[in-house]
Amino acid sequence: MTEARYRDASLALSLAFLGLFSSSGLPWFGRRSALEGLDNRPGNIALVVLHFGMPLVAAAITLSRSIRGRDPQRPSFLLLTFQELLKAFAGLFALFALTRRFSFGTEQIIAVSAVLSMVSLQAFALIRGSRREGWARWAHLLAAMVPWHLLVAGALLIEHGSKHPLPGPWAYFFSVTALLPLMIWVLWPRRSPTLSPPQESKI
Amino acid sequence: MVALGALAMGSLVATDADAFCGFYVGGAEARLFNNATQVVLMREGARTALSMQNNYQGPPSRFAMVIPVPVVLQKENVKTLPKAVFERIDQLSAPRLVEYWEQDPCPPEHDVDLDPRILRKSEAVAAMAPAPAAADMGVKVEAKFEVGEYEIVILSAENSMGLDGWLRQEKYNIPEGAEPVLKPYVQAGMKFFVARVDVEKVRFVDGQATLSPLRFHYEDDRFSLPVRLGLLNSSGTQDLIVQILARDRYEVANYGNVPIPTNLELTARGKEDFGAFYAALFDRTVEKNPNAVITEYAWDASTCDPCPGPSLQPGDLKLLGADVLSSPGAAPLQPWNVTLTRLHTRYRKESLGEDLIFRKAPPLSGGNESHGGKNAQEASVLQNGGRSTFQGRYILRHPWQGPITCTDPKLGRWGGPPGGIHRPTVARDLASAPRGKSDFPAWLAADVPALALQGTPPPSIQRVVQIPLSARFRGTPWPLGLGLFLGLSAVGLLAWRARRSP
Repeated sequence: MTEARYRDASLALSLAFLGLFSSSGLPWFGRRSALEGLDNRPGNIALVVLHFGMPLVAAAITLSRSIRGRDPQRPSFLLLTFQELLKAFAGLFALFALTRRFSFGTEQIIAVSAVLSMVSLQAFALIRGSRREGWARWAHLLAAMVPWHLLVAGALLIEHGSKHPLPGPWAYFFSVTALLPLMIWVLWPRRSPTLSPPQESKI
Repeated sequence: MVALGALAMGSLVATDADAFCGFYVGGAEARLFNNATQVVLMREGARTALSMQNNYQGPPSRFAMVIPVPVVLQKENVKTLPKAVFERIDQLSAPRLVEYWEQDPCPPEHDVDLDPRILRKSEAVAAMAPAPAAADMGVKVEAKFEVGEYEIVILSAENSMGLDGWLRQEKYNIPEGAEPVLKPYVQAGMKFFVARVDVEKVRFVDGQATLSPLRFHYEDDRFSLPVRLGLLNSSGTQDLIVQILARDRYEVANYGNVPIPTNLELTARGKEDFGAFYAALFDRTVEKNPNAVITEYAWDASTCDPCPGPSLQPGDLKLLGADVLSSPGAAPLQPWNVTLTRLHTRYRKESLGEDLIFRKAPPLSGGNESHGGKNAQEASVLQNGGRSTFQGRYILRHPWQGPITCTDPKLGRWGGPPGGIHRPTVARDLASAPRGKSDFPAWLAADVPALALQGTPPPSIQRVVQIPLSARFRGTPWPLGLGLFLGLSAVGLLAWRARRSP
């Protein structure tokens, strides 16, 4: 896949990320939005800002770099990779706490499988992305951000059951499921445009 | 055995009233009335603590209460109590009107402790030698002491004539016909607890003395409550409500027992006339089951559902006798191992042949909200054990009146009022509830087959359905499906472009 295709994929992912961010302003708790429903606890606010804010940052970088006709640079990649690693560690820590406190049952096995899948997918995307350049690297970073949101959406769906979601979760589910095919598209095995050996001309 | 007699003044007016656990005697030609009495019995093994609260109406002159007891009580067996605990226990066990709205409800609790002012130490009075005249009559003063505003004398009598004569000699007006009623108690070797009220220490509000509730405890294998004396001065009907706190539920052994029909659906009129409705329902139940004692409540003392007020706390139980009732090897009585049973009977002089004798009974269940099923109107006995959860519960439902704005409405989910908390209304002062009025078709929203009562079903509700277009896409599958469609479309577009690009 060419650099231009990775740029297009990044743009598509960014649009879905914008939808994901905008869901935070819609009602999540009764009439209150995701931020309003946190009782002003700093820890909760930090988590929500990270959760919804980072997709916005990623989308903003994608759009601005795309408009300027340049690919995102390594510092942006490292910054967002760092916060993705934080999320992965948070997920693993939560998993550790869960397995220590509760006896193993079906729910725990599902939770362990989900978190380990999320971390593996994220690690795969980040490692493969770090070995590429330009828009390919950036698209992999954006794809690496998706598994976390899939995990959160899955947890919300399990907790929510068959009830009608409020507008906030509704928009969140919509955006996350739109991200899923795009993530698969980016991570689908194909040759790297930058790190593969130079193609010999058959002319 | 404890005998609580109720001899009121000779000229007491015959009206419907709460039965009095004891009788008043005045020092002059006074008219004395008792208009409300509450009795709480706590039982553990062969020990009983009897607490009672009486309201006295009459002139602020010296007067006394006379109560038969099985043993000679000493000063340490008698104490006064704060009134709040009676209020709490009555509120907790009274028949309740519960209102449900198509939404959600909740309750608090607080502790009560002994009121140090009421529990002040009273000086023991040296035992008095019986007056020569008393000895001649076969009456002996066994003990004499002071507790709160009461000067207490414990009498024993060789014969009822002597007791009658002694009380008259002491200038107390005994109702005519008291002597034959006293006789079985004297023959059974009962003692007589005479609590003279020192009017100097009593506060009168609107002619009504606010007497401190009294508690005394004793040991006796028989668990009974003699109530025949209470009818001496009454040609009318009396209500008696007995609250029993013990590890088991209790019922009467020598009369029939019937749980009050419960879970009855009421109309708005039923709510307006709730006291009258309950009185009529009670009367109808007694009419169908003559001479039966009605069980109105049997529940773990630490909980309630829904709660009309706070449940009982360890401090409450201590006040009512847990501090003096203990069985070797058994856990102390606490609200969570005690069942509160409320028994209610209404009788006339001619219908009450014997005093009430209590016995243990298996747990009882009923008067609870059944989720999904029909709420049974009749109690069920739990033969395989468990805890009693029975209450007289009457229901007024407020169906959802607003528009239905979703595609799959879940009707029939009942809870508290929108944005608030609702406490059940309890039927209190049942003795003075308006009687003679019986308008069950207007009060009941459903039939009560057990009592052959017909209700009037509420008119069907005209549901207004206003589903906005957005509501049609509210279900979880919609965002998931649309999002997936959008993502796949984007990927399709990307693939298409990739194929077209050189």
